[in-house]
Amino acid sequence: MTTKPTGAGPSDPTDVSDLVQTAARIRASVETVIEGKADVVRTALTVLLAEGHLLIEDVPGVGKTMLAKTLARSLDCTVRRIQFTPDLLPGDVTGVSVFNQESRTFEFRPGAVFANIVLGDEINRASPKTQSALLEAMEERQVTVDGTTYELPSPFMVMATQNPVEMEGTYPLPEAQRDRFMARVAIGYPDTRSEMDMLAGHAHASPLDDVRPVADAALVSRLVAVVRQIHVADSVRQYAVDIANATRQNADIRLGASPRATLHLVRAAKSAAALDGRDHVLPDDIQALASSVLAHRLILTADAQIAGRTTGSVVTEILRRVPVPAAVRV
Amino acid sequence: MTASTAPPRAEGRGDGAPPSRAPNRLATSGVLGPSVASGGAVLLAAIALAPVFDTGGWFGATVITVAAVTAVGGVATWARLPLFLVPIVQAVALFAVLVARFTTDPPLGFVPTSDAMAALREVLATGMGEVNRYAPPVPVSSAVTAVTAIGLGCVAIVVFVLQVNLRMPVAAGLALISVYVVPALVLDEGAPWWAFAAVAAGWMLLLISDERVGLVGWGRVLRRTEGGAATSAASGLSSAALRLGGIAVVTAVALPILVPSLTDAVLGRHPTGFGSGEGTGNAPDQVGLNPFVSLRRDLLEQPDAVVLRYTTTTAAPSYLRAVVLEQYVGEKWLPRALDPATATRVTDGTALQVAIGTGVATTRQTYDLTADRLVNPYVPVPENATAVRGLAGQWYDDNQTGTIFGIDSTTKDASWSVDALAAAPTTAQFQASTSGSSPDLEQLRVAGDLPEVLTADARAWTADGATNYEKAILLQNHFLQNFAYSTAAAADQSSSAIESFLRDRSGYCQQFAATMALMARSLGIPARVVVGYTPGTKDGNTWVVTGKDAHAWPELFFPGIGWVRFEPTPRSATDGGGVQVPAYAQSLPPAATDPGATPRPSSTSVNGKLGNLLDTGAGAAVPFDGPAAVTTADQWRQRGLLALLVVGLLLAAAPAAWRWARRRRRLSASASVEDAWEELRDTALDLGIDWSDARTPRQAVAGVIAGQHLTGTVAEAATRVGRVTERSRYAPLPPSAEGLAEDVSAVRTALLDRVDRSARLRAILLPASLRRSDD
Repeated sequence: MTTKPTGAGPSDPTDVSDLVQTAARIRASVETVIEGKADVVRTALTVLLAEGHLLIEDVPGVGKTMLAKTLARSLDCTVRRIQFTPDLLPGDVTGVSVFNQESRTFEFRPGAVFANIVLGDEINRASPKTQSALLEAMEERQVTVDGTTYELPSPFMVMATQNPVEMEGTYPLPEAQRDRFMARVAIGYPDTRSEMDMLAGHAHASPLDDVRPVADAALVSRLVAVVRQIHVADSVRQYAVDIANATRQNADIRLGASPRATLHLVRAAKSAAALDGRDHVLPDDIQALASSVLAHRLILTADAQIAGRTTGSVVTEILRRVPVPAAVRV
Repeated sequence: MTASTAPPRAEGRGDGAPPSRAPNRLATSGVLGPSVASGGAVLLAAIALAPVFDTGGWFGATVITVAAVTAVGGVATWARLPLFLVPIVQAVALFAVLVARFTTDPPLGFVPTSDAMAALREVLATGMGEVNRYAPPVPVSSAVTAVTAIGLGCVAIVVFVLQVNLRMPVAAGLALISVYVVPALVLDEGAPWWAFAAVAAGWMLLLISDERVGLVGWGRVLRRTEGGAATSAASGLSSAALRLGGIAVVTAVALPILVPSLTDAVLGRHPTGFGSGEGTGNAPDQVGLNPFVSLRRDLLEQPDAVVLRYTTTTAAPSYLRAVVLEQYVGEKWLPRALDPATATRVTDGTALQVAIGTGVATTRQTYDLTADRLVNPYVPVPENATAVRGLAGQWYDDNQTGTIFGIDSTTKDASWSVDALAAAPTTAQFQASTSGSSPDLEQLRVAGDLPEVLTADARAWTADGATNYEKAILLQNHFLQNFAYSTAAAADQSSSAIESFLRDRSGYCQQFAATMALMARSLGIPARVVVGYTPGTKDGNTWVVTGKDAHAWPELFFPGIGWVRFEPTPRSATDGGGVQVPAYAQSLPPAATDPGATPRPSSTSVNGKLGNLLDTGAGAAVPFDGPAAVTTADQWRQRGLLALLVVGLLLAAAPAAWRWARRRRRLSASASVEDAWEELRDTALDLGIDWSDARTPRQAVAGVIAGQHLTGTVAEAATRVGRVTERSRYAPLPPSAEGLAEDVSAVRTALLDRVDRSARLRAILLPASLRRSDD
């Protein structure tokens, strides 16, 4: 999709600046609650505008759910939260058809997934069957129950939180399902200052109460449309493919990046470029997002795991080696 | 024998393979390829020696020697011997091969024991003697083969160490050039073009090999081909090496042509060699040479070099004779075979034979001569020398010609005194001398047909002459009056050089002397050509003979009188002005002038014809310090060094020039943004600034700014270059490249300022960026 620039089209710089302003408002709003985590917030926004889904992985209590909630509340759109538990059923997620005695017909009751933003809390505590119900909805952006297909609203974003797999009572997400998340972020512990501020803020009331929506679903949809129009040069696409190829050929990696991963990488990069106020993607965007977008999809070899490597470090290493193409070579 | 037989084997390794398997293979391939390349390059260069020898028999031993030296060097390097040991081991191998191959019955097989080395030394001494004695093409003997093998073996060691151990292919190329210098200097006509091509090919081989090693050593760069298959970039690198090498070679060839003051060292077209000569002399006592070549060299190239000085008792000294050319065979003049067995050994007390007719008045004269730059197996002596004293070494007097020649002796730093008789035959004596000479005199024999025009002219010019004496003077005077002196020869290619000379009526002493001698013979007068010197110029009490006094003249034989000098060469400023017509040859009425004949000085340049007048055919040359030679060894050494220096400078300057041309192109008005970016990148690479292709333009510029502490406008300029490049590559609308070249220049200047002088010099003279393959 080589985008020819058109003077007044969506790639018009004014549109991007509009996006930048809106994004800044959203970020400011979120950061009133989640302090000192600008990069995490930025990644979350990037994924939202790139029509992806976000996997937040970290130990309990660092604000995973809070981040998702705050982001959801900053946008004036429908928000549903699903607390995943081992006894959660697929129908709870997608919805069920129930028989209406009066009309003597089956009626569809939408599940929790029918919302603009869906918080999947502790997704790895649910059984794989339930997990898949959500993950299918994520990919298809629709739900099919009893032969009828129901469209999910737009924008649609799943923010799933996950405890590290070592934690008790968890079902780790299969790699095929991890692949559906555009990016994974770890929140990490706040620094001292942020934590002290948090203690002060949470003393009287939940800061979440003060969060007011700064954008609505329609605006987000428009911004998503802007992101779609961001220009990606062939050489940048090539760079993304080169990186993916490198993960596939890397000696430390058992499972490399999928083509979907490449797709997600470029989409996320477009979103990041737009957030930077650019109408085109730079290799820098690809680099900045490569770790978030790729790391959770890769599987290390046993040797590499024993050697203490992480997928993140391998991606960083790959970025250091893969040349940035100046022009397309193919 | 090319590097392609030994591609770095690590290429077969997929990127996915564990790196732990790599090192061993890499080490092997890092030695094998360059070793084969260095050996192959030396052998290619050795091809350039082919024209120096008469057969290819020497090549086999050279192949074995070079292969052995290279193989041993390869193994030594592979075994990680300390660097200084590698050439030592190679030298031992070289001598082992030579001992096994060339000494008879070596005591311990190939072990270079002291006995074996002594035997080898003997063989080499013999070989050196033969090489020095014979004119090229040198007949290939076992001893000559040994000399060649040891020479090329040494070159192979140098090339190996430079190429494989030190990774300096350019310097290794200089060692190859040293091989080329041999045919270029020894052969009269210069080395043939293909000799240079062979050496150049060898050098290319070194460059390509080195590029491949460099590539493999740094890992493999994958690039896609049309088919989508990943291929190694090594082939692209080779072409980069070829391009660079090609330009260097073309520059080396073209520059001397374009710059007239430079000797054309590469193509070897300067008209001299180590004296062209005759290679017939296979017996050790015969010295094959062609004195004419050195005569010409003295006249043209060293007119002011002092050859010798002398004092004498007479106010009008005699010409100094060095060599006599008697045989005219196959359109060239040859000296007679000089054989000590039939010659008189010259010692201080020996009375030398002179053949002066009875009744001819003679005056006794004494000369004390001292050689200056004269190094020569012939001693210049006055006419009719009766005694020569003070010569050290073995000297002989050839009774027939009066040539004093040395066996294993030269006139280097020699002093000698000569007693001589100045003969003054009278006109009456000449007129009385009849043509009663015996017809089988060597001096009458003419092998092959003389040009028709020569015999016809001789008859026409002497139609008025009644006696041989009159005819001789008519011939001489016709030359003096109708011909012009010129050291340039006609460029006419249509007929033989003699015909050109007679038609153009211009030439120099060699042509006058030779033509008059031939004409005299065609008239039945015995004649020969003498090469030597005119008396020179007087400086106080001392006479000084310089290169421009080198001369050739005819001697004609008159029964009852003996051999008598004539002087057909007109006086000229360039010929030293020492030309004197003998008194007895001035007294006849002038010859009838040819109305159509006006002297026509030739203005064309010296070319091959000049030497061909009497020297056509296979001009062969011994390392000959000619009869009139002014220490040619020194001269050739200087020229060789000069040629090496020029080639070396050209080679050394080639990278800088190539880089400069690149920069000019990239910063020109029509250059693209990518060009400017590549210039910035190459500047960083040249200066050794950390640069990775895995960095985006933004990161790369930021890295340079931070690493080199750029500030202010320079930092802004660098940032601008990065941003424009970024937009040019990735944005939908390309940015303007305006001012980009200035920005790059500013950054370059700032970066150059920030490094020390040695880094700056390296960046300019040996730009590391040229090693990149991808542009």
